[in-house]
Amino acid sequence: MITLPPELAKRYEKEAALELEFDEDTQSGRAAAAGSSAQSGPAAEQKAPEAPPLEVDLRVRIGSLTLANPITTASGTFAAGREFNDLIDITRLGALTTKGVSATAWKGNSGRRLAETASGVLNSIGLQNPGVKHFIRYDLPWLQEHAPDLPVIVNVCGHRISDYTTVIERLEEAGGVAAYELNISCPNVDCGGMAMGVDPAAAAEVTTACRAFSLRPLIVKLTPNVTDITEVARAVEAAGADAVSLINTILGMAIDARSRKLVFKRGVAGLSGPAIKPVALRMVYEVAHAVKIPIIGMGGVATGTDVAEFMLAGATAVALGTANFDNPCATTDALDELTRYCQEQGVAKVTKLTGAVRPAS
Amino acid sequence: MTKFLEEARVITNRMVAPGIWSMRLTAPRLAEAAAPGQFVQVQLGDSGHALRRPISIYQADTGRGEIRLLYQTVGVGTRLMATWQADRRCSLLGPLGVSWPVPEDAHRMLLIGGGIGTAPLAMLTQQLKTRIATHVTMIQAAQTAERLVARDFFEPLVDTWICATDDGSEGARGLITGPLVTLLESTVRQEPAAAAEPEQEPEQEQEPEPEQTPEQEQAPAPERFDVAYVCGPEVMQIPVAQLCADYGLRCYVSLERRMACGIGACLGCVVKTKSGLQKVCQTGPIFNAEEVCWNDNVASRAR
Repeated sequence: MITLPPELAKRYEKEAALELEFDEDTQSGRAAAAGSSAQSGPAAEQKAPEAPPLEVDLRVRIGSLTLANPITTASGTFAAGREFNDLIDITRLGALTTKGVSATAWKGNSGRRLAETASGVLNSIGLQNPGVKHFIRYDLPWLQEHAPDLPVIVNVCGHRISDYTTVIERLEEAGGVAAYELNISCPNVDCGGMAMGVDPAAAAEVTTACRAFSLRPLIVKLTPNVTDITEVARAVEAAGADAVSLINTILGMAIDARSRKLVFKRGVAGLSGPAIKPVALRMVYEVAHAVKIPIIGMGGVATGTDVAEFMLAGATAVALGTANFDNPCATTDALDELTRYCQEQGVAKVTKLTGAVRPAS
Repeated sequence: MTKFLEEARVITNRMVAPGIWSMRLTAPRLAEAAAPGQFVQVQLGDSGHALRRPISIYQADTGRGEIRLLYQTVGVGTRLMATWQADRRCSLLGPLGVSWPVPEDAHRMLLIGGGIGTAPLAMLTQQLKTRIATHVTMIQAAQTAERLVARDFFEPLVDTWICATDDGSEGARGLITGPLVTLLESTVRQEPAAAAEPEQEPEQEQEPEPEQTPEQEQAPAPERFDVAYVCGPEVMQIPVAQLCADYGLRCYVSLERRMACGIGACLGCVVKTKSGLQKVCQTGPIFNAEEVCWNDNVASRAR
């Protein structure tokens, strides 16, 4: 384990203290379920029959990071925000999760990259990205200029462990990043990606390695393409992950009956969109019962109601991905809808939703 | 140009040729903002479809606040669009992509459109006709005479209109390259730069070069074209781009790819170019044909 520089160690202590404070304040959601604590806090006092709409505290915590609301973007569907900026106010997001950033430029996959399926999309992009240097020079300054207060979660990808740590090292030097999401779950690359995410030991190893390079929240993105997702979740928790995000895309395939050919050069591709929502919801629920660290839930989320469902299943924050393609305003629309949902449900603190689902009657 | 979402309303939606539909929509903001060659992402508004459909803007009428789309029913999305009735509302995202470049010093323009690919050339034609001393020649090709998309629009508007059909039901029989070679040859006094042998197409046979008539050879050669604008199926674009290169004619092509976001975020629609992978939705859909690595791209094309 690499020794942390004293400056980083000091900051970590400070952030850890903050975290405790926040925990006492709002983070009792998952344990307390839909219990009586929902009525406490200053916001709840405004709740009266004739009162104006309930003011909802939408803040959530991912490790030491406080998000203004639980909504973020799923990596790879939102680039680094620039493309969406004239369509939505990106500063309203709880956090912006970027497309995968690797140590050097990746070309991605050749051949066809997209196929629509019933209520979903298969993609085989292959993590094409211009590399961390370009990200630091081109995307980070733009984000700092246009959304200085928006927490930026950088999705980090690599072929080998040193690739991941290189990206984090460079970004730590550059600054302006709020958290890292380790992509050990992309099904569209041969080396690294999902290969690490399906093996609990390998997942733990990359987590441990990256942990040594940053004190910022480390989120590990999990693949659904395993027999038991809780095994990997537990392994990365033990290795020092501050949170897990799930699910990445489900391994799929498309065949053109007329040409009798595979549609994608790699044969397989990653399935996303509304089609995978029930699978994602189940996995978030399972992982919520297996680990104590917060969960960023994703997989077919398109509306505020979907966000609420994922939070009830155990997610602290929720990402929208494929939905951004059909509706570029999906994230901010979902935020508005989630706020209305909380008002209607009398939920003063959105964290009270996390894990609050009850058994069917 | 800023892109935006506009809630449009269908005015009419009718089949204009077998499998080819024309949809008129009220979309005043898009009508105002659209430039020739740009496209919109049409939301299908059906929970079974996760993606919008990229459709080029055929015409924009700023006075009436309408745009018109021409589309071919090739898959589930366009087939669904063909069922839309008047007054249906749909969300459009646009205007997207770049517009056709029109160099200031260019005055002799050649438009080359195949099948539904003529649609993004319509607004360009209107734009070119507003320029002084600009001569527009169009070669239009289709499978059959009735599939010469928007012929009624183009034929009276351009200075010279030539057509080719696969079945010979109108104009030259066979591929567009036949009349194109004739036309390019007629503008050249000396030998062309190189053998005008188009690249072999994988599926279709090349039409042999039509022989020139003695009259054409004797007549003074018309001026060379300055720019060619090409849109159509890729099997047509490849030999056309090659011919333009052989004759030293600057050539712009409008490419088509499956898209998810349409705004440059997802990297689903990239093509290989001499300057690396480029997004068709954002850097394109219009490219300088010489920049496109055709051999690398044709294999990746979904048929």
